[in-house]
Amino acid sequence: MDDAIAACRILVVDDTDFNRTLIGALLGEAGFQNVVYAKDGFDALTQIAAEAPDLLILDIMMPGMDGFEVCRRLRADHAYADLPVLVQTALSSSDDRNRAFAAGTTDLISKPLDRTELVARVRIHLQNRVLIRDLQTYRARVEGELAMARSMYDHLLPSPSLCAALMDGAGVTLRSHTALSSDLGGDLWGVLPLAGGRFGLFLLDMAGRGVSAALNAFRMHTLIHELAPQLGERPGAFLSELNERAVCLLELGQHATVIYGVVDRAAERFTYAAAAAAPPVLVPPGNAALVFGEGAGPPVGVAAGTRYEERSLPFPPDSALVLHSTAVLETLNGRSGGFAALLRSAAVPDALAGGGDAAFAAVTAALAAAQGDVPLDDHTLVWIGRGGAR
Amino acid sequence: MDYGIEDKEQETLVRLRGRLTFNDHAKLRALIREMLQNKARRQVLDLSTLEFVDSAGIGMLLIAREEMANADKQLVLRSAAGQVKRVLTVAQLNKIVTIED
Repeated sequence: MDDAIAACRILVVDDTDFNRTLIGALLGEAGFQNVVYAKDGFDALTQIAAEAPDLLILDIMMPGMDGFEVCRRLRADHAYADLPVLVQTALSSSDDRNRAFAAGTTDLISKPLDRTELVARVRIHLQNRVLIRDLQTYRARVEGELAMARSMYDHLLPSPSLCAALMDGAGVTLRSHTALSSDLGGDLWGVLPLAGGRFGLFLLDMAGRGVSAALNAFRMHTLIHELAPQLGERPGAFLSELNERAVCLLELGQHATVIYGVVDRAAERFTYAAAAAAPPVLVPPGNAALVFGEGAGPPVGVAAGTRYEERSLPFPPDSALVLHSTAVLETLNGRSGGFAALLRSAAVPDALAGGGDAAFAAVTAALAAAQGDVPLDDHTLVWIGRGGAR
Repeated sequence: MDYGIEDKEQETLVRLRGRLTFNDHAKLRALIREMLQNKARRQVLDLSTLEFVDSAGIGMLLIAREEMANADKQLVLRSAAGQVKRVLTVAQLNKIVTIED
């Protein structure tokens, strides 16, 4: 017999000395090493409260509190909801048996006791118990670890205080929307403060899903912050070097789509480089047409020696710059078309007249409606408004 | 994702159907093994009936390219359309893999 099963604590509840001794002897002979006894219902509940057994063998006819009542009280307590209770009974009519099951009995053992039956039933219920306990422990551990990983992941994203400080220094407003899928995805964004009221901004989407994508996102986050002091000012060189490091670090089949750019309010420009990212969009002042940047480029981490081109978008006063993950495009079904249609749809221009907050809210609301309660992939949208109402 | 293999004189043609995503990892691994056992040097993935590819799917195509290269074979991606074509274009995979219309 499995050690884990042999060591399970079995509580035998019977008011007859002879029965307790008999059951104990049969179980001991079969290899069960941890058998304890209670002489009636009250004694049983006291002992269970002191140390919960793994299985209960319960007599029905006992003075004071009978087996039915013991069973009912146990089942009323959440802690013992799944404790296996084997009722030993001479009750032969189906009414009585049903009554035992209604009270919460797991299984019946017929009286007079049959050695083989007793041992077989005890063993099978303990096996189930041990299996379920292993699964529960494992599941709780995985859930705990995922929750912890999720919380660590959340800490990688820019804190509200960092965004606030940046907004003061750079004279822009920064709003973001992140919706994580049920397993950990690989979306990440962040800001790198630069000299002269400028700042760097990156959006990154790691290929794949779950823990492996999250681990790789952490690696990329570290790389980005390592490169920031030397290359933060030069998006093309930044992405090219990030790619060289990522090629060494990531295994084949793992890569990231990235856009990195510098927001420069004084020069009224957004200078950026992109690696298979969704194109950045400029929402210009007034009713002028949207301006789309270019997101094409080999993903980061695939081929050494890739050079990323530097591109730029104007960023005049009273405009807004919108960066988003490719999942946003998938959700809105199509190329820039879906997203552009959303930005052009009546809600957004109307809302823009009322200020950046309203426009951002209109976009995220439309996005939330399109992606449903639990998005299939991570979604990130960063909205940088400058001047006046944006 | 599903696939069908057709052996031609000069090349092996593999038709991919449906959606190529993170969940198809094992299936694509099996397909790569089959492609390695084929005699033809040119291994063509026909993507005309592939509806969708995600980032993990792109990763698997790159693994296939590498495995073919290691075995002195050539991987060709052919006839991508719709979302698949857009993703290949945005990622500029033509710099890494042979892509045919």
